Amino acid sequence: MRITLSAAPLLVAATAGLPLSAFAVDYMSPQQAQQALFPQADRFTVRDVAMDAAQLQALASKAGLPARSAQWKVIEASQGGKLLGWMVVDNVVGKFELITYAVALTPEAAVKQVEVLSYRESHGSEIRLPAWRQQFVGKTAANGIRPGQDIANISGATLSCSHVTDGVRRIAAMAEMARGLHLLGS
Amino acid sequence: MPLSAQTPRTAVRGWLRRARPWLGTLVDIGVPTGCDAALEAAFDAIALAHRLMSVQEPGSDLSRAHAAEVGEPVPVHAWTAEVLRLCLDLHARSEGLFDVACGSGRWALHCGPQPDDPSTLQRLDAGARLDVGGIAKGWAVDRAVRAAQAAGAAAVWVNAGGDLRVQGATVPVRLRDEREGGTHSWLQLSDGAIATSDFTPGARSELSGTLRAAHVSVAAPECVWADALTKVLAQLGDAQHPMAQALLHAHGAQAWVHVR
Repeated sequence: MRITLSAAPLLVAATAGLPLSAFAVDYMSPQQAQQALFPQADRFTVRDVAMDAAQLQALASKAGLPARSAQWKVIEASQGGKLLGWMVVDNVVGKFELITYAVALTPEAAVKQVEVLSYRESHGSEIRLPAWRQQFVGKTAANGIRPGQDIANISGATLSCSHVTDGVRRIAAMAEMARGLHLLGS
Repeated sequence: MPLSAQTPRTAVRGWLRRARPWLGTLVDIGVPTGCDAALEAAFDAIALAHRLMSVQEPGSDLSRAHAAEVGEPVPVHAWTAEVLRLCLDLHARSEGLFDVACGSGRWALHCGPQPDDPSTLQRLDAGARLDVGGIAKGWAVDRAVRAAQAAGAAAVWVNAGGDLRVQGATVPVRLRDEREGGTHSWLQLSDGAIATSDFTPGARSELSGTLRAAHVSVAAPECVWADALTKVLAQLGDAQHPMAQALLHAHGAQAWVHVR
């Protein structure tokens, strides 16, 4: 084991007074994610799912969580006209972090895999500001990304990902409902 | 453990880096570009540890033990048995400060005479509930690193929500400010592990029944000990305490107390 300290190895408050900075990792773009999650697919089709008030209420009750959105963009993956499954991209905000993730679902709307697309951690209360979050929306790995260059890691108290698992549950419930209601167009 | 400024042994041209939700947190794994099979092998090890030891999983070894009657021996996987054995060992060496039952009740692990013999977990009190979350996370990180290496990765890092181990490379590690968010540039880690726990007032996690609770990091060759020793150090609040010194020495570890 080798450790090279960036700060003086003091036993108490080793990092007090050092400048704070934000932290960001881009893992994959949504396009890379759909290829990775459905490597056999030869076609990806965007399906816009719009839910009315009654459907939203049913979704909230099914997921056991607030429905959050009436509009969902669902990517349908198919091979030679045969349905392989769906992918949905979503964002969640935690204590300090904004996480963009993709959920892959089977044709039966069961969760197949979850991949994090980007992780952004702010300092201060930026994470609560819509303007700070908005600057990243739709820009995941879109520009300025150099895959394989960024290897920094955070050590810290264990991050809870309950907001991601809640989001996955909501998406699974939405997909199952949309499938049953023929809102996915297939 | 020497402090040095050596360059990494492995010159990795590019990394394949992925993060997935496991173990109740985000698990971030990096391997050299092209080592896709090693990446999947590492995630498979993490997923197995999750299914065996997460109390959130209804079918996990721990959930089955909690559902069983008091005194009923519940067969557990060899991985679970190994983690529980390490828990008992550290419980004894830390004079009870490390306690995966958090004082909820007594429990026992029964191992057969041969390494391959099945082990069983037995709750001895009705209230006994075990949560191996932290130490199992560190242990899963070690297993994932080993799995990636066995699948051909010359270098790998695995970071389970702050429990980080790296082999074959040097990775910059940033320390989160647990009060304000954001991170500090902190250190470069090669061939070892680091874990951080924050049990100061208002932190994400709490320890029950402790007098002191600090924000500490521990570096050790193995992630299981880096994580487990943070729990002891956070309660001692003093890396110079004789018990802390003995445990750190026994595991080739060193500690940082960020906030007492």
